[in-house]
Amino acid sequence: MNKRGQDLINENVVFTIIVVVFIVALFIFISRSGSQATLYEQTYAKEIALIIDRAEVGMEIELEMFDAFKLARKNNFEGRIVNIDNGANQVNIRLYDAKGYDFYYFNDIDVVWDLDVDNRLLILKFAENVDV
Amino acid sequence: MFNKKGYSRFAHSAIMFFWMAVIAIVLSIAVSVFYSQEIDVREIEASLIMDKIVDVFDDSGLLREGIICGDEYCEGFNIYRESGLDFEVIRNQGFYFKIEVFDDGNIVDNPIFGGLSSYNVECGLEGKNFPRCINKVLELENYRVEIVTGSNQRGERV
Repeated sequence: MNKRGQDLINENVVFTIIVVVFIVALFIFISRSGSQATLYEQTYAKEIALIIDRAEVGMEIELEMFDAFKLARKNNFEGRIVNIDNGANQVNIRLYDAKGYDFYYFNDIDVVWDLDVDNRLLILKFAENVDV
Repeated sequence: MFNKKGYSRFAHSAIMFFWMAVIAIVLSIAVSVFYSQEIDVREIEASLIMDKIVDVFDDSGLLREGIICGDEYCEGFNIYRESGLDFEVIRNQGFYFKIEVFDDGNIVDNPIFGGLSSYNVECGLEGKNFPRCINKVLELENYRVEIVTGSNQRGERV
């Protein structure tokens, strides 16, 4: 093969690699966005905050979180998907490896919470805030 | 470098890279616009604050005892404690309420405010960046209680 022919092959190989990289990057971007993890984080954070705002002392609520667990698993996220901070009155939801979505509740109530991983439930119990 | 027609042999590559960039940008914008949509719960929050405040004042159609003493609020009356609203969150996270009590048409004491005072004006304005507010008037025998509540909590991706 002469030098011109070799150059032509090299150019085509480089060109093909660039096109493949572009398509793969596009595919990864779309599949990540398509998982709707960010939208679900927001939805769950707001739903839980509104439940807490509406709750009264003595109530016990179980919230089914099947989609949240499923998405976290799909995104290979093994951390805590729900965090409720009683001090800051803040709900944080994380469904992939980022800092998640924060939303505040204004009800001055003590939230005792637990995740039932087997049944994919968030268990919320409400008690009087002793700091009042 | 140039062929007989005067084109660079890289001209087709350049055009293709240009369209690749265009596709990537358009796709990124479309996806981010779609997934950055906000679930708006501000009106629900304003309504929940309203319910809590109404419960403080309304005792089956009568003004609850221990709120008004003469022509002022009773000593020790604290709207946050009575309603179960968290002072810090109401003050710092985009909430608002205003309560005025009238006794036979005359205002009793000063209005009670909570949250961001600028919402007093913004509650009357239209626009997606302004708070969502709710007004309610309670007629409790000779007392009239006018309540405005609002929320502009947007949530935060951290």
